[in-house]
Amino acid sequence: MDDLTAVRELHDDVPELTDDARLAARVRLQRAVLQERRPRALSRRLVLRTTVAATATAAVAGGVLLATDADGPRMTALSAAEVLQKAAVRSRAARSGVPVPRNDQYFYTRTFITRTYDKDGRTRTWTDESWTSVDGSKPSRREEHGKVHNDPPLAENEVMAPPTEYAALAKWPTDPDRLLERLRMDTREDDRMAFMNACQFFVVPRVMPPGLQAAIFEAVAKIPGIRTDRDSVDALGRRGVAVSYPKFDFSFVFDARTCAYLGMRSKGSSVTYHGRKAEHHDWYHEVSGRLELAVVDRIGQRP
Amino acid sequence: MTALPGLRARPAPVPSGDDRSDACVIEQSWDDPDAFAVLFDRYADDIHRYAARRLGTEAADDLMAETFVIAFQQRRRYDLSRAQARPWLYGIVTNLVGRHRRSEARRLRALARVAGVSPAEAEPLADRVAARVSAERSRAQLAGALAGLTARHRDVLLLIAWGDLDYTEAAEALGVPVGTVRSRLHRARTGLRQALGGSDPTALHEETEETDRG
Repeated sequence: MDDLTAVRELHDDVPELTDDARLAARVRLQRAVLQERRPRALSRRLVLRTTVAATATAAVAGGVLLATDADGPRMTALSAAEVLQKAAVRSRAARSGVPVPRNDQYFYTRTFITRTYDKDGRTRTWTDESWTSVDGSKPSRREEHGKVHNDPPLAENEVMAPPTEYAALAKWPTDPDRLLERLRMDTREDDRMAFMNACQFFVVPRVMPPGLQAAIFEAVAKIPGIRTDRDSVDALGRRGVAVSYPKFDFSFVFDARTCAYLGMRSKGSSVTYHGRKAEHHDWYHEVSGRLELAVVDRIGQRP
Repeated sequence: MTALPGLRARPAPVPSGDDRSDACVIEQSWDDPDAFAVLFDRYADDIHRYAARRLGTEAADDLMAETFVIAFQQRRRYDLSRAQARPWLYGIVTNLVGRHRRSEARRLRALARVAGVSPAEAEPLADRVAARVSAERSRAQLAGALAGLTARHRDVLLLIAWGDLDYTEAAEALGVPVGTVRSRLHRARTGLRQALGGSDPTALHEETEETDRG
Protein backbone atom coordinates (compact mmCIF):
# COMPACT_ATOMS: atom_id res chain seq x y z
CA MET A 1 0.00 0.00 0.00
CA ASP A 2 1.17 3.52 -0.78
CA ASP A 3 2.58 5.07 2.38
CA LEU A 4 0.49 8.25 2.10
CA THR A 5 -2.70 6.24 1.66
CA ALA A 6 -1.76 4.17 4.70
CA VAL A 7 -1.33 7.34 6.76
CA ARG A 8 -4.70 8.63 5.54
CA GLU A 9 -6.38 5.50 6.78
CA LEU A 10 -4.70 5.62 10.18
CA HIS A 11 -7.06 6.88 12.96
CA ASP A 12 -9.76 7.22 10.35
CA ASP A 13 -12.32 6.10 12.91
CA VAL A 14 -12.10 8.89 15.50
CA PRO A 15 -15.47 9.66 17.11
CA GLU A 16 -17.35 12.69 15.84
CA LEU A 17 -17.53 15.97 17.69
CA THR A 18 -20.19 15.60 20.40
CA ASP A 19 -22.98 18.15 20.86
CA ASP A 20 -21.70 18.96 24.34
CA ALA A 21 -18.19 19.69 23.12
CA ARG A 22 -19.54 21.76 20.24
CA LEU A 23 -21.64 23.85 22.61
CA ALA A 24 -18.78 24.27 25.07
CA ALA A 25 -16.51 25.46 22.26
CA ARG A 26 -19.14 27.87 20.99
CA VAL A 27 -19.53 29.30 24.49
CA ARG A 28 -15.79 29.87 24.69
CA LEU A 29 -15.83 31.68 21.36
CA GLN A 30 -18.80 33.77 22.44
CA ARG A 31 -16.98 34.69 25.64
CA ALA A 32 -14.03 35.93 23.63
CA VAL A 33 -16.45 38.00 21.53
CA LEU A 34 -17.98 39.56 24.63
CA GLN A 35 -14.63 40.23 26.26
CA GLU A 36 -13.71 42.29 23.25
CA ARG A 37 -16.92 44.27 23.56
CA ARG A 38 -16.35 45.24 27.18
CA PRO A 39 -16.15 49.00 27.51
CA ARG A 40 -13.06 48.48 29.65
CA ALA A 41 -11.25 47.76 26.42
CA LEU A 42 -12.12 51.24 25.20
CA SER A 43 -10.29 54.32 26.30
CA ARG A 44 -11.71 56.24 29.25
CA ARG A 45 -12.36 59.28 27.18
CA LEU A 46 -14.28 57.34 24.58
CA VAL A 47 -16.47 55.78 27.24
CA LEU A 48 -17.13 59.16 28.78
CA ARG A 49 -18.03 60.67 25.45
CA THR A 50 -20.44 57.86 24.57
CA THR A 51 -22.01 58.16 27.99
CA VAL A 52 -22.67 61.84 27.49
CA ALA A 53 -24.07 61.19 24.04
CA ALA A 54 -26.28 58.41 25.37
CA THR A 55 -27.59 60.59 28.16
CA ALA A 56 -28.54 63.24 25.65
CA THR A 57 -30.32 60.65 23.53
CA ALA A 58 -32.10 59.30 26.56
CA ALA A 59 -33.48 62.74 27.30
CA VAL A 60 -34.89 62.93 23.80
CA ALA A 61 -36.09 59.37 23.32
CA GLY A 62 -37.30 58.85 26.85
CA GLY A 63 -37.08 55.08 26.52
CA VAL A 64 -33.34 54.62 26.61
CA LEU A 65 -31.82 54.23 30.02
CA LEU A 66 -28.29 54.28 31.28
CA ALA A 67 -27.40 51.36 33.49
CA THR A 68 -24.43 51.43 35.80
CA ASP A 69 -22.77 48.59 37.62
CA ALA A 70 -19.49 47.81 39.32
CA ASP A 71 -17.62 47.56 36.06
CA GLY A 72 -18.34 51.11 35.05
CA PRO A 73 -20.89 52.85 32.88
CA ARG A 74 -22.85 50.59 30.63
CA MET A 75 -25.40 51.54 28.01
CA THR A 76 -28.46 49.42 27.81
CA ALA A 77 -31.05 49.81 25.18
CA LEU A 78 -33.70 48.46 27.55
CA SER A 79 -34.03 48.63 31.30
CA ALA A 80 -34.32 45.43 33.33
CA ALA A 81 -38.07 45.96 33.64
CA GLU A 82 -38.44 46.48 29.90
CA VAL A 83 -36.48 43.30 29.17
CA LEU A 84 -38.79 41.36 31.50
CA GLN A 85 -41.92 42.86 29.97
CA LYS A 86 -40.75 41.92 26.49
CA ALA A 87 -39.91 38.42 27.78
CA ALA A 88 -43.45 38.15 29.17
CA VAL A 89 -44.95 39.08 25.82
CA ARG A 90 -42.80 36.47 24.08
CA SER A 91 -43.62 33.86 26.70
CA ARG A 92 -47.35 34.37 26.17
CA ALA A 93 -46.94 34.04 22.40
CA ALA A 94 -44.75 30.92 22.62
CA ARG A 95 -46.92 29.13 25.17
CA SER A 96 -49.74 28.44 22.73
CA GLY A 97 -47.82 25.50 21.29
CA VAL A 98 -47.50 23.46 24.52
CA PRO A 99 -50.48 21.20 25.25
CA VAL A 100 -52.17 21.06 28.65
CA PRO A 101 -50.76 17.90 30.25
CA ARG A 102 -52.79 15.03 31.72
CA ASN A 103 -52.14 14.07 35.33
CA ASP A 104 -50.64 10.69 34.40
CA GLN A 105 -48.03 12.26 32.11
CA TYR A 106 -44.53 13.65 32.66
CA PHE A 107 -42.78 16.89 31.88
CA TYR A 108 -39.63 16.26 29.99
CA THR A 109 -36.81 18.82 30.14
CA ARG A 110 -33.34 18.81 28.66
CA THR A 111 -30.95 21.43 29.98
CA PHE A 112 -27.38 22.23 29.05
CA ILE A 113 -25.11 23.53 31.80
CA THR A 114 -21.69 25.13 31.52
CA ARG A 115 -19.65 25.75 34.65
CA THR A 116 -16.55 27.93 34.50
CA TYR A 117 -14.15 27.98 37.44
CA ASP A 118 -12.98 31.46 38.39
CA LYS A 119 -9.44 30.42 39.21
CA ASP A 120 -8.24 28.92 35.95
CA GLY A 121 -11.13 29.32 33.49
CA ARG A 122 -11.56 25.54 33.31
CA THR A 123 -15.02 24.55 32.11
CA ARG A 124 -17.25 21.57 32.75
CA THR A 125 -20.48 20.83 30.97
CA TRP A 126 -23.51 18.65 31.55
CA THR A 127 -26.64 17.82 29.63
CA ASP A 128 -29.33 17.04 32.20
CA GLU A 129 -32.58 15.28 31.35
CA SER A 130 -35.48 15.13 33.77
CA TRP A 131 -38.95 13.59 33.83
CA THR A 132 -41.30 15.15 36.37
CA SER A 133 -44.67 13.61 37.23
CA VAL A 134 -47.38 16.10 36.24
CA ASP A 135 -49.50 15.65 39.39
CA GLY A 136 -46.63 14.53 41.60
CA SER A 137 -48.35 11.19 42.33
CA LYS A 138 -45.65 9.09 40.68
CA PRO A 139 -41.87 9.00 41.15
CA SER A 140 -39.91 11.51 39.09
CA ARG A 141 -36.45 11.21 37.63
CA ARG A 142 -34.35 14.33 38.03
CA GLU A 143 -30.82 14.72 36.68
CA GLU A 144 -28.60 17.32 38.28
CA HIS A 145 -25.07 17.85 36.98
CA GLY A 146 -25.10 14.38 35.50
CA LYS A 147 -26.29 12.71 38.70
CA VAL A 148 -29.68 11.01 38.50
CA HIS A 149 -32.06 11.35 41.45
CA ASN A 150 -35.17 9.20 41.62
CA ASP A 151 -37.53 11.38 43.60
CA PRO A 152 -40.41 9.52 45.31
CA PRO A 153 -43.86 11.15 45.22
CA LEU A 154 -44.38 13.74 47.93
CA ALA A 155 -45.79 12.36 51.18
CA GLU A 156 -49.02 13.84 52.53
CA ASN A 157 -47.28 16.20 54.91
CA GLU A 158 -44.71 17.34 52.34
CA VAL A 159 -45.00 20.28 49.99
CA MET A 160 -42.80 21.78 47.28
CA ALA A 161 -42.48 25.55 47.35
CA PRO A 162 -43.12 26.71 44.77
CA PRO A 163 -44.99 23.58 43.61
CA THR A 164 -44.09 21.47 40.60
CA GLU A 165 -47.56 19.94 40.17
CA TYR A 166 -49.41 21.43 37.27
CA ALA A 167 -52.76 21.60 39.06
CA ALA A 168 -51.22 23.42 42.04
CA LEU A 169 -49.45 25.86 39.72
CA ALA A 170 -52.72 26.50 37.91
CA LYS A 171 -54.06 28.03 41.14
CA TRP A 172 -51.32 30.63 41.30
CA PRO A 173 -52.38 34.14 40.32
CA THR A 174 -51.42 35.31 36.83
CA ASP A 175 -51.95 38.94 37.73
CA PRO A 176 -48.44 40.34 38.31
CA ASP A 177 -49.35 42.41 41.38
CA ARG A 178 -51.08 39.56 43.17
CA LEU A 179 -48.33 37.17 42.12
CA LEU A 180 -45.65 39.50 43.50
CA GLU A 181 -47.49 39.57 46.84
CA ARG A 182 -47.42 35.80 46.89
CA LEU A 183 -43.72 35.65 45.93
CA ARG A 184 -42.90 38.06 48.77
CA MET A 185 -44.28 35.56 51.28
CA ASP A 186 -45.01 38.37 53.77
CA THR A 187 -41.41 39.59 53.88
CA ARG A 188 -41.31 43.36 53.89
CA GLU A 189 -37.75 44.64 54.39
CA ASP A 190 -36.57 44.00 50.81
CA ASP A 191 -37.58 41.93 47.80
CA ARG A 192 -34.81 39.37 47.90
CA MET A 193 -37.30 36.69 48.92
CA ALA A 194 -39.59 37.56 46.01
CA PHE A 195 -36.72 37.47 43.53
CA MET A 196 -35.45 34.18 44.95
CA ASN A 197 -38.88 32.56 44.72
CA ALA A 198 -39.21 33.72 41.13
CA CYS A 199 -35.85 32.07 40.33
CA GLN A 200 -37.00 28.85 42.02
CA PHE A 201 -39.61 28.35 39.32
CA PHE A 202 -36.84 27.99 36.77
CA VAL A 203 -34.08 26.27 38.72
CA VAL A 204 -36.08 23.06 39.16
CA PRO A 205 -37.72 22.19 35.84
CA ARG A 206 -41.50 22.38 35.58
CA VAL A 207 -44.11 23.20 32.98
CA MET A 208 -46.16 26.23 33.86
CA PRO A 209 -49.81 26.79 33.04
CA PRO A 210 -50.54 29.45 30.41
CA GLY A 211 -49.69 32.92 31.58
CA LEU A 212 -47.84 31.98 34.76
CA GLN A 213 -44.34 32.28 33.34
CA ALA A 214 -45.24 35.61 31.75
CA ALA A 215 -46.75 36.79 35.02
CA ILE A 216 -43.57 35.85 36.89
CA PHE A 217 -41.51 38.00 34.52
CA GLU A 218 -43.95 40.88 34.95
CA ALA A 219 -43.88 40.49 38.73
CA VAL A 220 -40.08 40.55 38.79
CA ALA A 221 -40.21 43.66 36.59
CA LYS A 222 -41.96 45.42 39.48
CA ILE A 223 -39.20 44.63 41.97
CA PRO A 224 -37.15 47.76 42.75
CA GLY A 225 -33.40 47.37 42.39
CA ILE A 226 -33.32 44.77 39.61
CA ARG A 227 -30.64 45.46 37.04
CA THR A 228 -29.23 44.19 33.78
CA ASP A 229 -25.89 42.87 32.68
CA ARG A 230 -25.58 43.05 28.93
CA ASP A 231 -22.40 40.99 28.77
CA SER A 232 -24.06 37.72 29.49
CA VAL A 233 -23.83 34.50 27.56
CA ASP A 234 -26.16 31.61 28.10
CA ALA A 235 -25.02 28.01 28.28
CA LEU A 236 -25.49 27.56 24.55
CA GLY A 237 -23.33 30.55 23.71
CA ARG A 238 -26.25 32.74 22.75
CA ARG A 239 -25.75 36.41 23.54
CA GLY A 240 -27.97 37.30 26.40
CA VAL A 241 -28.86 39.97 28.85
CA ALA A 242 -29.00 38.92 32.49
CA VAL A 243 -31.49 40.35 34.97
CA SER A 244 -30.24 40.16 38.53
CA TYR A 245 -30.94 41.41 42.05
CA PRO A 246 -28.13 42.97 44.12
CA LYS A 247 -26.07 40.47 46.10
CA PHE A 248 -28.09 37.51 44.92
CA ASP A 249 -26.31 34.63 43.19
CA PHE A 250 -28.98 33.70 40.64
CA SER A 251 -30.09 35.71 37.64
CA PHE A 252 -32.32 35.24 34.61
CA VAL A 253 -30.81 35.24 31.14
CA PHE A 254 -32.82 36.51 28.17
CA ASP A 255 -31.95 36.69 24.50
CA ALA A 256 -30.23 40.03 23.86
CA ARG A 257 -32.28 40.73 20.75
CA THR A 258 -35.65 39.04 21.19
CA CYS A 259 -35.77 38.96 25.02
CA ALA A 260 -36.92 35.31 24.91
CA TYR A 261 -36.12 33.43 28.11
CA LEU A 262 -32.89 31.45 27.66
CA GLY A 263 -31.88 30.11 31.05
CA MET A 264 -30.37 30.88 34.43
CA ARG A 265 -26.98 32.09 35.55
CA SER A 266 -25.55 31.46 39.00
CA LYS A 267 -22.45 31.71 41.13
CA GLY A 268 -21.32 28.99 43.50
CA SER A 269 -18.45 27.21 45.22
CA SER A 270 -17.42 23.96 46.79
CA VAL A 271 -17.70 23.86 50.55
CA THR A 272 -15.52 22.03 53.05
CA TYR A 273 -16.60 21.92 56.67
CA HIS A 274 -14.06 22.32 59.46
CA GLY A 275 -16.22 21.43 62.40
CA ARG A 276 -18.99 23.99 62.09
CA LYS A 277 -17.00 26.43 60.04
CA ALA A 278 -17.61 26.29 56.31
CA GLU A 279 -14.77 27.06 53.95
CA HIS A 280 -15.72 28.09 50.42
CA HIS A 281 -13.31 27.31 47.63
CA ASP A 282 -13.27 26.66 43.87
CA TRP A 283 -15.69 29.46 43.05
CA TYR A 284 -17.40 29.10 39.72
CA HIS A 285 -19.97 30.74 37.47
CA GLU A 286 -22.57 28.56 35.92
CA VAL A 287 -25.08 29.10 33.14
CA SER A 288 -27.85 26.78 32.17
CA GLY A 289 -29.84 26.82 28.95
CA ARG A 290 -33.05 25.00 28.27
CA LEU A 291 -32.79 22.83 25.16
CA GLU A 292 -36.17 21.20 25.31
CA LEU A 293 -39.41 21.19 27.27
CA ALA A 294 -42.23 18.80 26.41
CA VAL A 295 -44.96 16.54 27.76
CA VAL A 296 -44.39 12.77 27.43
CA ASP A 297 -46.17 9.62 28.64
CA ARG A 298 -43.51 7.85 30.63
CA ILE A 299 -40.06 8.19 32.18
CA GLY A 300 -37.33 7.60 29.61
CA GLN A 301 -39.47 8.72 26.67
CA ARG A 302 -38.16 11.60 24.62
CA PRO A 303 -40.26 13.88 22.45
CA MET B 1 -5.40 22.80 -6.42
CA THR B 2 -2.20 20.82 -6.62
CA ALA B 3 -2.94 17.27 -7.70
CA LEU B 4 -2.32 14.70 -5.04
CA PRO B 5 -2.85 11.01 -5.61
CA GLY B 6 -5.90 9.63 -3.88
CA LEU B 7 -7.12 12.92 -2.47
CA ARG B 8 -10.73 12.60 -1.34
CA ALA B 9 -13.27 14.96 -2.71
CA ARG B 10 -13.96 17.55 -0.05
CA PRO B 11 -17.56 18.56 0.58
CA ALA B 12 -18.22 22.21 -0.08
CA PRO B 13 -17.57 23.97 3.24
CA VAL B 14 -20.30 26.53 2.68
CA PRO B 15 -23.64 25.66 4.31
CA SER B 16 -26.81 26.33 2.41
CA GLY B 17 -28.15 29.83 2.50
CA ASP B 18 -24.78 31.47 3.05
CA ASP B 19 -22.43 31.63 0.09
CA ARG B 20 -20.09 34.35 1.33
CA SER B 21 -16.40 33.50 1.22
CA ASP B 22 -14.56 32.98 4.49
CA ALA B 23 -12.57 36.15 3.85
CA CYS B 24 -15.82 38.05 3.45
CA VAL B 25 -17.12 36.68 6.75
CA ILE B 26 -13.88 37.57 8.53
CA GLU B 27 -13.93 41.10 7.15
CA GLN B 28 -17.50 41.51 8.35
CA SER B 29 -16.48 40.23 11.79
CA TRP B 30 -14.03 43.12 12.12
CA ASP B 31 -17.01 45.36 12.81
CA ASP B 32 -19.53 42.75 13.84
CA PRO B 33 -17.71 40.19 16.02
CA ASP B 34 -20.78 37.94 16.20
CA ALA B 35 -20.39 37.19 12.51
CA PHE B 36 -17.32 35.10 13.31
CA ALA B 37 -19.57 32.28 14.51
CA VAL B 38 -20.19 31.47 10.83
CA LEU B 39 -16.59 30.25 10.55
CA PHE B 40 -17.11 28.10 13.61
CA ASP B 41 -20.14 26.47 12.05
CA ARG B 42 -18.24 25.84 8.83
CA TYR B 43 -15.07 24.33 10.25
CA ALA B 44 -15.55 23.15 13.84
CA ASP B 45 -16.04 19.53 12.75
CA ASP B 46 -13.02 19.46 10.42
CA ILE B 47 -10.69 21.03 12.95
CA HIS B 48 -11.95 18.77 15.70
CA ARG B 49 -11.47 15.68 13.59
CA TYR B 50 -7.92 16.63 12.69
CA ALA B 51 -7.02 17.37 16.32
CA ALA B 52 -8.70 14.15 17.48
CA ARG B 53 -6.64 12.10 15.03
CA ARG B 54 -3.48 13.69 16.33
CA LEU B 55 -4.16 13.84 20.07
CA GLY B 56 -7.36 11.96 20.89
CA THR B 57 -10.91 13.18 21.35
CA GLU B 58 -10.57 14.69 24.79
CA ALA B 59 -7.66 16.94 23.91
CA ALA B 60 -9.39 17.73 20.61
CA ASP B 61 -12.45 19.16 22.40
CA ASP B 62 -10.20 21.68 24.08
CA LEU B 63 -7.91 22.38 21.13
CA MET B 64 -10.76 22.98 18.72
CA ALA B 65 -12.35 25.50 21.08
CA GLU B 66 -8.98 27.20 21.62
CA THR B 67 -8.37 27.35 17.87
CA PHE B 68 -11.49 29.42 17.25
CA VAL B 69 -10.80 31.75 20.18
CA ILE B 70 -7.28 32.41 18.87
CA ALA B 71 -8.55 32.79 15.32
CA PHE B 72 -11.14 35.29 16.53
CA GLN B 73 -8.55 37.28 18.43
CA GLN B 74 -6.21 37.35 15.43
CA ARG B 75 -8.88 37.95 12.80
CA ARG B 76 -7.70 41.47 12.02
CA ARG B 77 -4.37 40.05 10.86
CA TYR B 78 -6.07 37.73 8.39
CA ASP B 79 -4.98 38.19 4.78
CA LEU B 80 -8.30 38.96 3.07
CA SER B 81 -6.91 38.00 -0.34
CA ARG B 82 -7.23 34.38 0.79
CA ALA B 83 -10.84 33.41 0.23
CA GLN B 84 -10.61 30.15 2.17
CA ALA B 85 -9.85 30.24 5.89
CA ARG B 86 -9.20 26.50 6.16
CA PRO B 87 -5.39 26.70 5.87
CA TRP B 88 -5.27 29.51 8.43
CA LEU B 89 -7.32 27.52 10.95
CA TYR B 90 -5.29 24.36 10.34
CA GLY B 91 -2.15 26.40 10.93
CA ILE B 92 -3.47 27.56 14.29
CA VAL B 93 -4.54 24.11 15.43
CA THR B 94 -1.23 22.61 14.26
CA ASN B 95 0.61 25.18 16.35
CA LEU B 96 -1.52 24.17 19.33
CA VAL B 97 -0.80 20.50 18.69
CA GLY B 98 2.84 21.51 18.91
CA ARG B 99 2.32 22.29 22.58
CA HIS B 100 1.36 18.68 23.10
CA ARG B 101 4.25 17.00 21.31
CA ARG B 102 4.98 14.75 24.21
CA SER B 103 1.47 13.42 24.50
CA GLU B 104 1.30 12.96 20.73
CA ALA B 105 4.49 10.91 20.82
CA ARG B 106 3.13 8.94 23.75
CA ARG B 107 -0.09 8.21 21.89
CA LEU B 108 1.75 7.02 18.80
CA ARG B 109 4.12 4.87 20.86
CA ALA B 110 1.21 3.26 22.65
CA LEU B 111 -0.21 2.34 19.27
CA ALA B 112 3.19 1.11 18.13
CA ARG B 113 3.43 -1.27 21.06
CA VAL B 114 0.82 -3.57 19.49
CA ALA B 115 3.55 -4.44 17.00
CA GLY B 116 5.28 -6.36 19.75
CA VAL B 117 3.02 -9.39 19.13
CA SER B 118 5.14 -12.05 17.45
CA PRO B 119 3.94 -13.79 14.25
CA ALA B 120 4.09 -17.18 16.03
CA GLU B 121 1.36 -16.09 18.44
CA ALA B 122 -0.84 -15.11 15.54
CA GLU B 123 -0.53 -18.41 13.69
CA PRO B 124 -3.05 -20.63 15.51
CA LEU B 125 -5.74 -18.03 15.09
CA ALA B 126 -8.35 -18.22 12.39
CA ASP B 127 -7.41 -16.56 9.11
CA ARG B 128 -9.78 -13.68 9.62
CA VAL B 129 -8.37 -12.93 13.04
CA ALA B 130 -4.86 -13.34 11.73
CA ALA B 131 -5.64 -10.84 9.00
CA ARG B 132 -6.92 -8.41 11.58
CA VAL B 133 -3.86 -8.90 13.72
CA SER B 134 -1.69 -8.29 10.69
CA ALA B 135 -3.63 -5.14 9.84
CA GLU B 136 -3.23 -3.96 13.39
CA ARG B 137 0.44 -4.70 13.22
CA SER B 138 0.94 -2.60 10.14
CA ARG B 139 -1.06 0.21 11.68
CA ALA B 140 1.13 -0.06 14.74
CA GLN B 141 4.25 0.03 12.61
CA LEU B 142 2.94 3.08 10.87
CA ALA B 143 2.25 4.80 14.19
CA GLY B 144 5.77 3.97 15.27
CA ALA B 145 7.13 5.42 12.06
CA LEU B 146 5.11 8.63 12.55
CA ALA B 147 6.43 8.95 16.08
CA GLY B 148 9.93 8.71 14.64
CA LEU B 149 9.50 11.66 12.27
CA THR B 150 10.63 15.12 13.27
CA ALA B 151 7.85 17.49 14.31
CA ARG B 152 8.24 19.58 11.16
CA HIS B 153 8.01 16.63 8.86
CA ARG B 154 5.08 15.13 10.72
CA ASP B 155 3.16 18.42 10.64
CA VAL B 156 3.46 18.69 6.88
CA LEU B 157 2.61 15.04 6.31
CA LEU B 158 -0.46 15.06 8.56
CA LEU B 159 -1.78 18.42 7.35
CA ILE B 160 -1.85 16.86 3.91
CA ALA B 161 -2.97 13.34 4.84
CA TRP B 162 -5.42 14.14 7.64
CA GLY B 163 -6.24 17.80 7.04
CA ASP B 164 -6.79 17.25 3.29
CA LEU B 165 -4.76 20.37 2.51
CA ASP B 166 -2.89 20.65 -0.78
CA TYR B 167 0.73 21.86 -0.97
CA THR B 168 -0.19 25.52 -1.31
CA GLU B 169 -2.64 25.35 1.56
CA ALA B 170 -0.16 23.50 3.78
CA ALA B 171 2.39 26.20 2.99
CA GLU B 172 -0.13 28.89 3.99
CA ALA B 173 -0.99 27.00 7.16
CA LEU B 174 2.61 26.68 8.28
CA GLY B 175 3.81 30.01 6.94
CA VAL B 176 6.57 28.45 4.84
CA PRO B 177 7.23 28.44 1.04
CA VAL B 178 5.59 25.73 -1.07
CA GLY B 179 9.03 24.35 -1.93
CA THR B 180 9.68 23.74 1.76
CA VAL B 181 6.41 21.84 2.04
CA ARG B 182 7.37 19.67 -0.90
CA SER B 183 10.80 18.85 0.46
CA ARG B 184 9.52 18.20 3.97
CA LEU B 185 6.79 15.93 2.65
CA HIS B 186 9.33 14.10 0.53
CA ARG B 187 11.58 13.54 3.54
CA ALA B 188 8.68 12.53 5.74
CA ARG B 189 7.60 9.92 3.22
CA THR B 190 11.14 8.66 2.79
CA GLY B 191 11.38 8.39 6.55
CA LEU B 192 8.12 6.46 6.67
CA ARG B 193 9.16 4.03 3.96
CA GLN B 194 12.47 3.40 5.67
CA ALA B 195 10.78 2.74 8.97
CA LEU B 196 8.22 0.44 7.39
CA GLY B 197 10.64 -1.32 5.09
CA GLY B 198 12.46 -3.59 7.51
CA SER B 199 14.18 -1.83 10.36
CA ASP B 200 12.55 -2.33 13.76
CA PRO B 201 9.69 0.17 13.89
CA THR B 202 9.46 0.06 17.65
CA ALA B 203 12.93 1.49 18.05
CA LEU B 204 11.77 5.07 18.11
CA HIS B 205 13.76 8.22 17.90
CA GLU B 206 13.38 10.64 20.74
CA GLU B 207 11.96 13.99 19.85
CA THR B 208 14.88 16.36 20.13
CA GLU B 209 14.39 18.79 17.33
CA GLU B 210 13.09 22.23 18.16
CA THR B 211 10.23 23.42 16.09
CA ASP B 212 10.95 26.43 13.92
CA ARG B 213 7.45 27.52 13.13
CA GLY B 214 5.93 30.61 14.51
